[in-house]
Amino acid sequence: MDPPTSLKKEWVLTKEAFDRFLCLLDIDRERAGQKYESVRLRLVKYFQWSGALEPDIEADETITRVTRKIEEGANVYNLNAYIQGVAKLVKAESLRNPNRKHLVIEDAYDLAVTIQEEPGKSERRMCLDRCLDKLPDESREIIITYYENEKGIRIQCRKQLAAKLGVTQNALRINAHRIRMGLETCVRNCLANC
Amino acid sequence: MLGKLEADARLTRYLLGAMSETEREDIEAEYLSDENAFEQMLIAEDELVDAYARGELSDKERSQFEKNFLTSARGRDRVEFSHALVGAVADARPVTVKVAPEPSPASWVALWAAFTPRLRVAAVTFMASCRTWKNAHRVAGFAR
Repeated sequence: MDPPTSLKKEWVLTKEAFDRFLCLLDIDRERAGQKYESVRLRLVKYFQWSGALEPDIEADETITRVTRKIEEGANVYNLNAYIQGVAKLVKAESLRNPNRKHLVIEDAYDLAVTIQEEPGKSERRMCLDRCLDKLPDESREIIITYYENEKGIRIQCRKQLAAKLGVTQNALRINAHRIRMGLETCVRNCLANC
Repeated sequence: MLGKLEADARLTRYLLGAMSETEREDIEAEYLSDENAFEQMLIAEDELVDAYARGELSDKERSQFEKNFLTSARGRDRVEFSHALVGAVADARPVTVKVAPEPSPASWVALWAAFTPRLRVAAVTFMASCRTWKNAHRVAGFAR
């Protein structure tokens, strides 16, 4: 039988328990680390796309609970499916929580206005310019051509760019997305060091 | 199997929170267990965030987006990045107006080849009537 909820909260993640969880992801430590990052990102996005206010915290809570179950000897035959099940539970609990702060729509509009009204060149923009400059020429060209222009022309430009590079449009989408992810990381690091 | 546009529209509806719980669970099961499906979700998110930043969403979509995306710091961060990216890309290259080239004789041949037989007959009849009308006009001018 499961211990009562009050006891569950007292459980603390230990290095040994976490190592066991990593081992289930992959026997090779480095690959396990990469898989952990991938699982965590998917969980963060899952909670973010479900409207969670703090998706990182809920993703970590999911991983902690899975780790605990493994530590307690649960038979986990399909780790992915198990994580999904626990994530669903965490999400359901979060939605039921009466203390959960609901951001009312007016607040969302206020935030939208704040985002759009950044005067002059923001720190973020300066960091982005710096990160763009660091990109190899071909990647920079892809990012600029992929994201420039208005909607109608943009679609045409993307088709032409894919043809020029000799790749499918989906391959170009993936390529542009990966370069963009790298840029976002670069900007985050740059902002953290400002 | 869904077409690309339909598949993209499905992911966008998911991101905007505009689908039933059962449909949501199907998509979640896909991207939580499949790396490629997850990457396609991230790409759909890029596109949606950019469309918001560029003001390309409808009123309803914009409202759904703000309700779903601006609630978390991560969502707001993505929108701010997109704003910066749109600005940086616009400044990176001066705007160039691309003018479509004049149709060459080869394009006329291609256009003719694309016509259905019925359309070809109609085109020839139209051109012949134009010529007849032009000749008649010229003859009338001489007569005057």
